Amino acid sequence: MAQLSIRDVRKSYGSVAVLNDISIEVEEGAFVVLLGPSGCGKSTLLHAIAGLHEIGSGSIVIGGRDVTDLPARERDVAMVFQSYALYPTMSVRENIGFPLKMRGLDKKAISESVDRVAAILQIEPLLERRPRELSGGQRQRVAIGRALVRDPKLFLFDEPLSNLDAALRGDLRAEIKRLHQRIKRTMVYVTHDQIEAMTLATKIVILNRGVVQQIGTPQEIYFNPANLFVARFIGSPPITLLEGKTANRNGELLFKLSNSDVELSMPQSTNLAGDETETILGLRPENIQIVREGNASLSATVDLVEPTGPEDIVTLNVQGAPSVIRTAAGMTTQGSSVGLELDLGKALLFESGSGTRLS
Amino acid sequence: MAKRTDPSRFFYQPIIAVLSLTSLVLTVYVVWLSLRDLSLMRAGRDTFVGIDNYIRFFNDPRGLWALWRTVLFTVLATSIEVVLGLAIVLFLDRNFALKRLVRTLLLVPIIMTPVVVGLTWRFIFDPASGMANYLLSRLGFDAMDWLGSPQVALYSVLIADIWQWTPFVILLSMAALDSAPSDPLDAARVDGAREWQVTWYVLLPMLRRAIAIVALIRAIDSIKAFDLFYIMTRGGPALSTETLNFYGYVVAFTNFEISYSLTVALILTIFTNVALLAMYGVLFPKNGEPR
Repeated sequence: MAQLSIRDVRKSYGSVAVLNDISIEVEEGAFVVLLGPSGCGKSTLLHAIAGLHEIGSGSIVIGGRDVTDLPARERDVAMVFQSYALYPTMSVRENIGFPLKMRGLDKKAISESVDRVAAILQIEPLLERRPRELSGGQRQRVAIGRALVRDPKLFLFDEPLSNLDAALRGDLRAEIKRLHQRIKRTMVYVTHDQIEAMTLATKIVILNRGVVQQIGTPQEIYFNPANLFVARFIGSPPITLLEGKTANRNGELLFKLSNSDVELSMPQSTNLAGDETETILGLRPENIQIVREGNASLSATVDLVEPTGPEDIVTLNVQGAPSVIRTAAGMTTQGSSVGLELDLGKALLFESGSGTRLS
Repeated sequence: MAKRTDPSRFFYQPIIAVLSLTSLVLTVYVVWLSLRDLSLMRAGRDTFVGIDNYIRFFNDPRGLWALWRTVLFTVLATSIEVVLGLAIVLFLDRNFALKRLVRTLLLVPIIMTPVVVGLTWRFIFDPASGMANYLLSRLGFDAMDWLGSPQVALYSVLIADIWQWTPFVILLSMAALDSAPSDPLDAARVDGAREWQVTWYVLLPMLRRAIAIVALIRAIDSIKAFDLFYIMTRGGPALSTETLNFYGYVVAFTNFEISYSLTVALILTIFTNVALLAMYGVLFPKNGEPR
């Protein structure tokens, strides 16, 4: 049975639809990441699940109970905020104990629960401090502790790592993943950071402009994007996109690049929309290799080389289109001309106008 | 920390020096005068009397009653204005269409001169033709002599003071509320708090410092209140609205007993400082946030 069901949820501010017919099913124990650019509605959706925002229509079911019209306090969810949202006038101990206090537990039980949670998160030495005496990472630990202290049906995370510096973000990300594996609770996590999404999620929901673009595992999202938006949004370095037209010449499938006379011969398995259709061909960086110019199917010039140590991130100019790939360190120099070998068997084809996936 | 070589000290040090010097000289002069029996009725014939003026005050029922009225007025005005102001702020804490207009209207009582406020309320409280009694009659109550009855007059002035200064509390609390983060309130809602619990456990503690400062300002102003009393009742009837500040004025400018008047003023100052320091100590404990 699904732990969380979001059914046809709509919400608008005036004439602007923030959430447009969103339907998501989340099974028990899943780690779902809502991913999208800022303003895509992911935070609004999370707040709607928490009961902090009302929705226009549709329903939200948590653990088999329709909570659409229930206030936040009756939904039995716990939430971690980007701003930590600790209670500034309470000590860490009081902060973590607050949800239990609101449920009328006695002091002894609260104290025991707080100690248990503090041990899990290793914040015992901080219990008597005030939030403003803590660092960002410690604050977020306390906020996670406050969510953990009771046993909610659902954990909600609203960009919990965005206010932390890079090193700490990595640490806490790993910690959240471990925590999920340990307590095996259903979690919904909002982020705009694809690394967080790919590393944490068992299921990713990609949102854009209030519309679900794709729901799938990190692998499905990466290797099998539903449309151009998803393909572009996921992947670092980003996917290389070449514009052109398809052609079918004597049974041979061709992809003719715009602005040049280069024709790529596509594998027979490729499912092309039809002859002379405006198409976009997408290739992940790992499917583009630099080879000697002579035996290359395509040539390019090197625009920029960014060394990262073991490998370089190279920005190429492929017939006017930018393409970012990884190469072994020192393979290319800026301004030089190189040949490219494309693994067209792994190419992704999209309809030019709508961005719909063709193959 | 600014170093001693910081040239900006040439700007602030002279000001501090002049201010300290004038207040020090004046205070010493006032203390000195309070130890004499200077009276304008016997100009030039004053002598040193030691602490006689202070002893006289503590044996002066009129002075002690005035002190008591000051305490009563200050406590009532401050607490009612803060509680009422906060209640209104929490009620207004929603985005409604006329919020800006309401904010502007709230400024009206504050910027009105006390003379106008006092006269307006005198008209309202007029026993024969005032609106207050008209309202009472419509509600089926007997008419009251708002400013003519010794049992009621102080509270009538209190009502005018509340009308004039509650908006001040509202404005400052509103500003504090607007700058307070809203995420902790949402967090409390998710954590299972009812709306009153959100307000009581999270919002009010966050606003505590702002409320404390507002209360402090209102307390200081109430202790010094003079204008409304002067215009509405002149301390009457039967001295029933004579506060210590007003009594000092009467002693100086009706009785011309300058030394005794200054003694009253000094006692009021000492009393004010002790009260406010105590209040400050409660509101801003040294060890971190108040519990």
